[in-house]
Amino acid sequence: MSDDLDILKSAHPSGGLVSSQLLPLVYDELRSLAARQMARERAHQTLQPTALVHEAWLKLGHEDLAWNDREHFFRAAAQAMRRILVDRVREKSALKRGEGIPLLDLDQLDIAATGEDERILQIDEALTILEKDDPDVARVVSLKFFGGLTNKEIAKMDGVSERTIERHWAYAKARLLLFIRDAH
Amino acid sequence: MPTDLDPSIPLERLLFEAAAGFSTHEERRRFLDHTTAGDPDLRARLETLLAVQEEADSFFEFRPHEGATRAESLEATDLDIGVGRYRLIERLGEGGCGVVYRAEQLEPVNREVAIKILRVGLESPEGRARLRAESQALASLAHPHIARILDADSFPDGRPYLVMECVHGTALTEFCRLHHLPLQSRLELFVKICRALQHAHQRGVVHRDLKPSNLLVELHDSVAVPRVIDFGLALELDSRPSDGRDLFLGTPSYMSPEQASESPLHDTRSDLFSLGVILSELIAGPPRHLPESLGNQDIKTIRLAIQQARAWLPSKTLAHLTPEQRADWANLLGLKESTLIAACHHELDWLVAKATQHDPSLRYESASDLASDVQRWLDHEPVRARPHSQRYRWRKLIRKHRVGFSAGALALAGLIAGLGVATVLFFREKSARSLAERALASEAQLRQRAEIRSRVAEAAVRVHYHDWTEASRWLSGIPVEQTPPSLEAVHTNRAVAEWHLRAGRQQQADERFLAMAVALARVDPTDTETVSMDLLPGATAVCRSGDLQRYDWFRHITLQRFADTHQPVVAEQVLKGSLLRPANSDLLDRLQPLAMRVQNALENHQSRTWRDPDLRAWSCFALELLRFRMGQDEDARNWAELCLQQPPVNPTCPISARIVLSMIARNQGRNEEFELLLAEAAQEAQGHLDDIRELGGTQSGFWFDWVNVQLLLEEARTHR
Repeated sequence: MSDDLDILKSAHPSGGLVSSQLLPLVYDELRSLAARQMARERAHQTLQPTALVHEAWLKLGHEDLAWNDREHFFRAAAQAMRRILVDRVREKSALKRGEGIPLLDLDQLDIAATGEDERILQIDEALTILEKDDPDVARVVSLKFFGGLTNKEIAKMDGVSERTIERHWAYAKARLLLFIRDAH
Repeated sequence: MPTDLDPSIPLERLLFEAAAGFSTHEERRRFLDHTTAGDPDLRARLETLLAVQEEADSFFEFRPHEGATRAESLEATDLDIGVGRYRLIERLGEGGCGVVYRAEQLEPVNREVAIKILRVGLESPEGRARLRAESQALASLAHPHIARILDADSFPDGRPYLVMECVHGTALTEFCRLHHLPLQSRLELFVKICRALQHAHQRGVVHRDLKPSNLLVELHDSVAVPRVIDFGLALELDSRPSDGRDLFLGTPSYMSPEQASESPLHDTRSDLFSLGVILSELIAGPPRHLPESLGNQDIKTIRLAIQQARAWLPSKTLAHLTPEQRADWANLLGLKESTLIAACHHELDWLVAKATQHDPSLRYESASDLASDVQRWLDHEPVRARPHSQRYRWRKLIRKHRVGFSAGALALAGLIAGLGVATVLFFREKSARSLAERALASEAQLRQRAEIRSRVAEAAVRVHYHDWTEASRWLSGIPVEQTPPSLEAVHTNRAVAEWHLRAGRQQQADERFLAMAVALARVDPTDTETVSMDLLPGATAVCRSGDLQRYDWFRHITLQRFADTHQPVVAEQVLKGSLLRPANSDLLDRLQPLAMRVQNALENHQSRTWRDPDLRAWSCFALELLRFRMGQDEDARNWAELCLQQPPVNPTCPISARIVLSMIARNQGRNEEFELLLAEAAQEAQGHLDDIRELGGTQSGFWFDWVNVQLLLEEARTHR
């Protein structure tokens, strides 16, 4: 753990880590946090992306980090969170079907795929398509939905107005919904 | 299809975002007609997208309760904090010291909260103990204009957290702008905010990060209600984190110079500085005394800039606007440009100047002092020019004993002056340093007083939620003579008293009024009309109880307290309240200066007294009453006549005047006239006196106005 912090700290003066370096770090952290969280709980667990990202940020984040490092972190965290959630859902259904080895160490699972699980998968699928088409807007979705960032924060990152992000978000939602509807 | 757009921006998105922005279907249709002419597929897609927006919104909603009903779902990954259990819903934002989430509390009660988690952990056990003590103070803040702190402590790993009431409001300056609040309304809001801060300061809590975004305004039934939020910075942090990080907390534009120094030194006066900047902003627009580029500099530069800068007075800010901007601004405030500028030069500038003095000891003593001065400006009364001599002495004492940030200071300054015996109550002493130098009471007394204070606080919360029975219970446990000298005690006792009154429980009502009177007479010396408004009901209740000694005591204390009031309205209240029964020459002498004030106000056609028919009538009556008590019958008659000439507003005024007039007639030997006038007045009053339960108002007469009529009637009848 402290190694991660050292890495982050040492990277700071030269202007921050690149996303690709940060991602595995964040991913590992989030994964272990998620596992720990679920290990503590009984059945019917739903992962709370917001809480997890928060935890990870507190552990890995550093108030001295320059703003664009923070940006990187959250972008990475959002990606990581998305992957974790999707993996988990897939795993759950795989186990339900009796195949595969759990990626995460799970004690108990809820057997029925909840509405939330399905939603995650659907969004993930749709988002993958949107990313090819319109990566800017897809990023907003990722940051907002998986990373738990506010419109204001995203606006700041991109150097645009909050209104712009709101509009992107509105568009993204409509488009993703259409994908999802059409796919099923 | 139009091709002169940046090809990297997807056309569909561009058109969607634009189309979605139109407010009518007609406009949207026309837009699409024009932009998608010749591309029906594009048009169809856009229309579909636009149509599914609502569904999309609901699909993407953050869903805290997935998967199970309340009964089964407790086991989800919620945060366990203290005795509560919370489900994070969304991040509201991130500040310099932590992150704030909107959350749903599941246990023990279900409600929406905001949770702030600070990023800096406390490393030492002492730090955490301090934090817990501070949290007590925070949690004890119970004021309608402060967002309640529901819980405050730290996680096992040392990170402090705060659970607070979730406030959905608009930032102060934004609210003012949106609702086109005129200058007067803005300042009225400001006064409320100051009073809320006073409440916190009295309990030893300093905000440290006051700025418009921490002052949210809610609209309750078209009344603007300010809520101070984010006392989070008030949580004590280790002043020197072990890894040598430089701790900088606060918002530069609103920070006082002493807050920005290397070893920050601040108390309530730092909050006052911030309030001063906010005041200036309400009057003249956003603070500009720090260079714009400062945000990108390193911490050291920022510190230096804040320490060296001088806050701008409103007229300076205005002067730096372009003529156009100035005109727009004045328009927003509903004033002529010249009026605004003149107002700044006369007194508004001065108010801000005193609040934002570089030297903290030169600022206002307390938030309520600042509030009072602003209120004076609003009431067209002269603002205070120099500090009270007694306070100056205290200030020197405070400066001598000021404690620095590292020892975990709570507010000391500004609360001491004028409290007399009760001084010690408002100290929160945390170090082992002896109280001998400052304490005037013994340890046991302190404890008792603290306990009493918390009873009042409890009652106040109950009053806020209209839980009258409980509020009454809390207050009844306090011996009347030991009612603490706080505005809170005044208001809670009054509220409960009036509740008893409405239910017909006169004795209990009078008890509460008595307690209110005790508090009123000793509360800190803010010379405002609001405080004096409680005076008359208090006097009436005490007088009615029949205990002449108590009434005497009450009017003596009142006089002591309000003797040098500059406000004619207050003077008039004091006169009326003190003369419900005959008075000795000593008391009458002491009332003379007050009578002069009232008289002067009547002669000054600019004064509020003159301009308000209700005040005019009552002022004449007050003078009639005084002259009558002094045995100056002819003068009294003249004033009575003047009173009766005024257009009737409050019916009790002419009735009271006539009763006194009847007594004057009797004094002068004109018994027939006496009987006549008395009978007339009694008849008029009859219907109302049978059942004085309604609290009444200016137009129908307040309950205490009617009781005063009753008292006067009694007096007239008994001396037959």
